[in-house]
Parts: sequence; C-alpha cells; structure tokens
Amino acid sequence: MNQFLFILSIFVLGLCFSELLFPELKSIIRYYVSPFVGIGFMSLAVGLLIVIGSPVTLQKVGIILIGYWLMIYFSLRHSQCIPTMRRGLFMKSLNQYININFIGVFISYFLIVIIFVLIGKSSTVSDSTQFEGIGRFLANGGTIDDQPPLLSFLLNGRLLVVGAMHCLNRLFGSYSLYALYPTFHIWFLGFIILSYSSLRRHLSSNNKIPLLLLLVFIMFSNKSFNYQIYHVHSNGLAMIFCSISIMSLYLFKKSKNKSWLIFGSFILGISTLIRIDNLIFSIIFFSIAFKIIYYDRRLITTMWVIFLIISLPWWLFTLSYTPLKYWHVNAYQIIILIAANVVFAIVSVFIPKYYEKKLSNFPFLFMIGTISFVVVMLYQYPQNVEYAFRYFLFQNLLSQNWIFLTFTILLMTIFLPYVAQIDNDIVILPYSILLYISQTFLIVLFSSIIGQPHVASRNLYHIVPLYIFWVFLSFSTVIDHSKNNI
Amino acid sequence: MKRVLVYFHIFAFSLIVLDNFIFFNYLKDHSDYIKDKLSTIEPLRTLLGTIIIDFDYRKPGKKKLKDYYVDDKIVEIIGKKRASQQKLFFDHYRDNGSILSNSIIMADIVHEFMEGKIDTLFLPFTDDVYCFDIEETEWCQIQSIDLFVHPIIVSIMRYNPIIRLKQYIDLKNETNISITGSDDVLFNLVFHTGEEKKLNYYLNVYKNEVFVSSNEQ
Repeated sequence: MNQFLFILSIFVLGLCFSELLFPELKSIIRYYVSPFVGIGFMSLAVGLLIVIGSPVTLQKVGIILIGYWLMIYFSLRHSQCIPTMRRGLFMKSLNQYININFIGVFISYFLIVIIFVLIGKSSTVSDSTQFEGIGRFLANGGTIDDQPPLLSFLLNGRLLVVGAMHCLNRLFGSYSLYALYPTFHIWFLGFIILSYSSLRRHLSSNNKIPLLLLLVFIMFSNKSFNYQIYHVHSNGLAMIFCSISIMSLYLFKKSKNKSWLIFGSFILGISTLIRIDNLIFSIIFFSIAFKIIYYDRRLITTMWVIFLIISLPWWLFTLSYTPLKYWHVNAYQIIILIAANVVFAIVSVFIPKYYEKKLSNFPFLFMIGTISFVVVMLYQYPQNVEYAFRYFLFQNLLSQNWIFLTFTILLMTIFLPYVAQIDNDIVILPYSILLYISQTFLIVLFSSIIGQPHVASRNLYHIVPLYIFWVFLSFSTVIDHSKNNI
Repeated sequence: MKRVLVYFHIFAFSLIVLDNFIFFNYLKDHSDYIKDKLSTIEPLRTLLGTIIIDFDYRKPGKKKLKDYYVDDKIVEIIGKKRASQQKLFFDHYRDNGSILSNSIIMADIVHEFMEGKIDTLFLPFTDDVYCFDIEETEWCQIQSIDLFVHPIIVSIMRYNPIIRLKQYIDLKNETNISITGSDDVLFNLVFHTGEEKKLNYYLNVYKNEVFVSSNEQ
C-alpha cells in the first residue's frame, strides 16, 4: 500500500508540474508524461537536500517541491524567456482537468501500479544492493557529512534519481522498491504506442491496429527491453529517458510544437541524473537538435538553459567529492563531460549567423570527429584500438546479445536514403542510434587506454527502443507512401 | 523500389522478432551444446568461439533455498504487514545469486530488529579486500552494510569470529530470531537483556550459522 501511494504520488506531482511547464502539449500527452516529470522533480528535491547536507524527510521534500513550483510559476509570470510557456494557461478550473482523457490516463496508471505492487516481482543483481543501500542510508537520516564508505562511487554511480527513489520509497513506509521499474517500463511502452499512433493517425485501421499490436509484441518481448522491466538498476530508466528525449525531437518535427523540445530538454536533463554517462548522450541530443532548429537561437538557448539548470549543479557538486584518481568515475572524466557540454552550449548559442547553416550538420561533424579521433588513437595506441574494436565487435555487436539488431541496423542504414526521400525527419532516429553506438565504442577505447572497467554492453541497451521505433516508423512511412502512389 | 523496401522491412521485422527473450534464454541455456554441434563444421569453428559467448554472471546451478518463515517473534517485533514486506525483500535478494546478498541481508535484519540496541557493530574484516570467507559463509562489499544499518556505527576490527561448539550451543539457546539468508546461511540475532543502553555487538560464525550478539567470543 505504501509503495502504491509512493508511485501514485509521482504521477500527481508530475501532473502539477507538467500543467505548469508544458501547457501547449495536448492534454492527453501532458497527463501521460506526468510520471516522467514527477520522478524528475522528486529527484531534484532529494538532490537539493543532499547538496545542503540536510537529512531527507518527506516534509522537507514537500516544502522544496512547493518552492520549485512557486519559483517556476512566478518566473513564468514575470518573464517571457521561455517562449512556449504562456502565463495563465495553467490557471484552469478544476472541471477542465477532470475530463475523459485525465480519468483514462489516471485509471490506467493506477491499475498498472497496483498490479505490479501486488505481483511483487523483482530482478536484482549485486548493483541493486547499492541502489537500495544508498536509499536506506538517506532515509535513515544519513548525509554527506556522515562520510559513508565509497562516497564518490555512491554519488556518481548510484545517485541521483534511482537512489532518491529508493530513499523516498522508504520514507513512504515501504520496505524495498520494486514496482517502480515495471510500472515505468510499461508506461513507457504506452508512450511509444501513443506517439506512434498519433504520428500515424492517417493510416487505415486495417494497417494501424496490426502494426500497433506488432509494436507492443516486439518491444515487450525484445530481450533488452524485457530484461530491464523488473531489473533494479539505473539502465532501465536511462533507456526510457534517453529514448523519450530523442523521440521528442521527432515529435517536434512532425507537430511543430515547441513544447516537445522544452520537454525533451527537461527529460534529457533528468536522464543525466540517472546515469553520468548520459552526459555523452546529451551532446548527441543537442547536435541533432541544432541541426533541426539552428535558425531559432532563442529556442536553442532555452533548451540549453533548462538542461544545464537541471544537470550541472548536481555534477558540479559530485565533482567536489570525486578524487582525481579513482577506480570508478574520476574527477577528470567529470570535468571533461561537463566541459564538453558547456563548450557545445556556448558554440551552439553564440555561433555567428553566417556559419550557423553551414555548421548545422553537427551529427555529421560529430561522426567525422569520432572517426578522426579513432584514426589518431590508432596511430598512438594501436593495441588499445585493436582491443576495443575486437571487444566491441565480437563481444557486443556480433555476440548473441546484439547480432540480430546489428544486422538489421546495418540494413536499415543502407536503405535509409530511400526512406528519407519520403520522410526526411526520420533521420533523427538513425542519427542518434549510430552516434550512440560510436560514442559507446569510444568509451570502450578510453577505458582500454586508461585501464578502467566500463559498462558498454549494458549501455547499448539504452537505444533498443529507439531502434524498434525507427523500424516501425520507417515501415509505416513506406507502406503509406506506396499506397498513396498506387 | 517501394516494393523492395516493404519486403526489406518485413525481413527486418522477422530478424527483430528473433531478438526476443524466449529465444535468447534458450540460446544461453544451450550455448555449449550449440557450440559443440556447430563447431563440427570447420569454417564456423573460429567464428562461433567469439559470437556465442556465455556472459551469464550469476552463480551456476541455483540451489533450492530453505524456506524463510515469518514466525511469531518477528511479527511481534515489527508487525505482520512489515514482516510480509521483509519476506518479499528477502525473496528478491536471497536467490539472485549475488555474492553481496548475505552482507545486506545481515545488515537489513540488524537494522530492522536491533537498531535501538546497538551502538557499534564490530565486523572481523579488513576494508581493503572485496570478499571474505569465514567458515562456510561469504561476505562481499562489506561497505554496503554501513548504508543499510545507518545510524548504527560499523567498525572493522581484527578478531577471530569463529566460535567453538560449546559457544555455539550457548548462543543458539540465547537466540531471539533466526532468518535464512543466501546459500543456506542462517542468521541468528541475540538481543541483550536487562540494560536499556546501547551496547557493542559482534559478528561470529559457526560453520554456516552467523551470530550477531553483544558477547565478544
């Protein structure tokens, strides 16, 4: 019951903030994305308490959340800096909120939560004990001043979002957190269906319904997705948040609704609080975002501001507790990741008008840069490049984990130019997937050079839903176009 | 071209469908058999050595665990609802094959049943080793214990935790609560009586039984 109330409170809280922040998203979408928004703000509240060294309690979290809400409310009222947020839009009467969409979304969420709380299933590994452990430490009144063992590892590897959720779950009176993971995975599956359905609303029912059913079946049964459903870890949530942020770019292109970009930046910021390596993914996101809205400097600035406000304070804080040499993430690596994001933000915000269109193809430049870097490394560290290549190819992409997906990604990429002739916006998805794979290869290479362990094989899970979404979009694009031509 | 694209997508779908968890688990469970069969084909031998890898990190051959039971004493201390939640927690962590399970199960029950009784929990380890074996028990990443028992202080101290048969019988008679952990390890909590103030507690081991008691043996 306590866990049920906790997961339900994520929805309610998210609803309060999404009404405030994303008024121009369709109401059903706004209601639907509430849990993703809620988990973000709850984590930010816990994060603030950790930073100021105050024990985490529900009362304090509640006060901070009210403070966040009021702060956003008043800054929106008195500022026009965020173009898609119009003041007064969220000042609706209660009757306007209680509509069929809201009731439908709320009941669906309610039922999913209750089912997974009652099922009581969970899949745990060694890492799960640390997520549970840091949550309990915080819930028992622990602070940074108590200097728990492996502090730097806990800050960078087990906090913020997942550890914060375990902490709040304990504070709600529940014993250990398990139902949040399957709830969010199934909810995310619903988000994919909702997005696909709205993007392909003009498809005939004869095509659309079988495709939706096939999408659900393939996504749910896919081993990378299915493995994460009950898994107590950060990879599942990282996969969800990374996928939603990239999907938001595509949804913006199709709807021209700027709220999708604001939402995408917010979700991306939260994804970096789930796993630090998502600070690499953020560069991929913004390189694609710049390509599609290079002409709207104000919007780019807004997106960066939202992302950096969410992400930067936490990582600057953890930096102060991270040694220069460490077996987990070290201070140099955090500095490089932060610097890369800040430099890219400055470049994309202040790039002269004359160059903006010429340099707008950041994804392409990014890929060229990666290949050039690997060539330079091949000259400097040939053995490491060979090891990274062999490991990445034979133990990941061509292993039983990935071989089917690798083969189809290759084929989809070969045929991409033909599909892009019908729908050019679809390149957003393959760009993000190919760039992510190349950056994961770089992680393996770096780890090999500095002799540090890496989790490349687990990180590759993050893009599987995006890939499946791409294949379905591509297929429906082709059959729809074929039909029109026939 | 459009028709080619349609067929090609159908081909892609059929490959992606194969990437499902049922087929994957079958491959994983039979990877050695498949390797053996296919490696009889000469050109495939080298390739299969790298493609089909066994990445399963769990301990092989899961044993059937002894039942954990919620007895009257546990229910009396933490209540029926909490006892059932605790049982679920053990269900999740006891049989996952993780080498960390016993460390956190011990920490969990110490926090749950003895938070008000312990000042410092002494553990017979050193902090520079990842795993320790004491008799038939294994203790890994002991740093996690600190997180679970906070605000109880955890102190690492060199002492002999192995007890003799007579001490075992004495402690067993004084045991208040027994709970089965991972790998059939039995945790016994011995509460001190008479004094209200918090005491120091020690971890002792006899074969596969662990005692947390205020007596330094």
